[in-house]
Amino acid sequence: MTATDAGRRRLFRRSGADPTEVLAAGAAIAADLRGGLGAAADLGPDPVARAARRLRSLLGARAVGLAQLHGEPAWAGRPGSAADLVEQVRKDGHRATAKEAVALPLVVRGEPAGVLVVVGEVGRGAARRAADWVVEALERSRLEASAAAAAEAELKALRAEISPHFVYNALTTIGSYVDSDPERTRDLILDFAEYIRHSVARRGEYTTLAGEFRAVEAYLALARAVLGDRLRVQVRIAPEVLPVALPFLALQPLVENAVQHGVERRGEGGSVQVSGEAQGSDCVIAIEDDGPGMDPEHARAVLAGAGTGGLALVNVDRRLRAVYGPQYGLVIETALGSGTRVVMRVPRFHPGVVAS
Amino acid sequence: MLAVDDVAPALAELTRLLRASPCVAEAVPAGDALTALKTLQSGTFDAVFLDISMPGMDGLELAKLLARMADPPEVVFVTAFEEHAVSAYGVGALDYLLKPVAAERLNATLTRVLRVAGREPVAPPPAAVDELAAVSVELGGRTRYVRRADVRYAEAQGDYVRLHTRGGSHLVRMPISRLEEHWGGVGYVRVHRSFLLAVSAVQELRSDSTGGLLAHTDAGDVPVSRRHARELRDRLLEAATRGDFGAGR
Repeated sequence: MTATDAGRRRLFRRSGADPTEVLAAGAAIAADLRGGLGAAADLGPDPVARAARRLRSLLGARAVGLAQLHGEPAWAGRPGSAADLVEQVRKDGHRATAKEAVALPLVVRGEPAGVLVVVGEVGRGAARRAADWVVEALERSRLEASAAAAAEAELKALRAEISPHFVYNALTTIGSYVDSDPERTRDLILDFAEYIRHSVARRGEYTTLAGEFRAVEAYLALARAVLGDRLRVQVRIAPEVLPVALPFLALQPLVENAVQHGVERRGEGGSVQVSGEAQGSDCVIAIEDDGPGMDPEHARAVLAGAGTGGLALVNVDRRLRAVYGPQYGLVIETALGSGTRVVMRVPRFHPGVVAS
Repeated sequence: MLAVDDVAPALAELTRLLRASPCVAEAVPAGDALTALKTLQSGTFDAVFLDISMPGMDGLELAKLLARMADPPEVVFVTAFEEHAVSAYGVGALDYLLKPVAAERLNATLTRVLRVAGREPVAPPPAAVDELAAVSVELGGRTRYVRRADVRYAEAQGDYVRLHTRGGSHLVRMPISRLEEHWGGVGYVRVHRSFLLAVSAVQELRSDSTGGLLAHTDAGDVPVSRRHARELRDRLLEAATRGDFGAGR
């Protein structure tokens, strides 16, 4: 009989050798460690202490301790003098043993993350496997946390997406009016401030359509100054939809997109039309340009996140669906050579969606 | 008026805007909280325009100090961030302005300051308003009445105003400023030097390539000057939030 076999027997001994129970305990331990070894204990029962208790009963140990790199370990049972092993492992990073106790370093992705202490008549193999299981759970929790952080960072990055190209063009244009038209300069600077303020705002998640339109008007005033006669714009909005709450920067990036793709890249210029109106219990906003348009297949691919470019469209589409449900995404009507019309439909009232 | 800001050009601009307003008799600049306190002791001020983020004592702290004065001046915060607005009202500020400050927005604030400071005649009593709930017009030698509720907008034409209704328009001998005095409190807003508009009559706001703004009504389009655009938008938002525009048309 090998040491591993002995360990496995021990591992199953107290839990009645029922694989279902063992697997369930393993899953529960992994779930308890989802927040890492430093999961906050002040919000309800300490999940790390719970994981230690589950490990203790799974292993049939007298005591089990889970420790981070600093601070008090979470103990299940009384460790006695074995508690000293924690410091020893923290210091030199190697396995440490005492009478009927073993402390194992928990190394997550090559870096020390903590210590597992097992006290009692538990086979070495079983203790090592338990440590491996904890390490795997910790690795998974880190991956999950970094994926969530990446998603959040992506949203933040997209929120603060200001085109440097546009900013420099606007500043250059404003500068050119300083001598000839001081009053227009002042107005444009106020528009610029409004545009930037809205783009970098860290307020609640929702604004009113009135607020979003204010930012759109500021952007269009600047774009008109930059592009002159090349940009023809018409904005039409029905007053009853002004109070509609919608996510910050749901509309303005679409208008910028239309100006960039529909007008700016064409020497002869073009026109952009923006409208907002009520249709029953929905508010319908349309942004239309008479630019080069695109292959409808390409538009579909862009919204599916597969095509290149169209970051603004994808971002707005995804946020709308996340907030209002799958039926409320963007609709793109386009064809090569015949302009693009982006339609956004949002409910006029939606539970939980309140402008800050 | 006292203006306080540690950024010299911002302070100069704010002082200039205050002095440019006809409502302001005197505007004194102060570069920090301490100078502001000293200045306040040297005379009486109706209002203090306070930058929030300043080194040393910041605007919020200074406002808390001012609130303990015997006869404190009104406080208006001038800030770059709207987040600060909440804390601004927390210390009893009258209003807050976003940087950079727009002249028309500042004038709206000054009107409020004067009203609170009691330096402005109180609005005409309701009886005077009702006097003009209907306006008599001469039509083919006969006197008829146009109901105010039917008037979508009024247009100044020299010493006359033309009242536009769905069914047509009527000329009345009255300066538009007088009409505004009476109708200003009952849902009409001046949107242009020559136009007074019923907020509830607006069906659509339209802006065109030149940046000009039009309010579309069923009696015709009304031009909105840049100076009045913000107030009209705010009034429309208020009215729409109250549900004045129904469930959609």
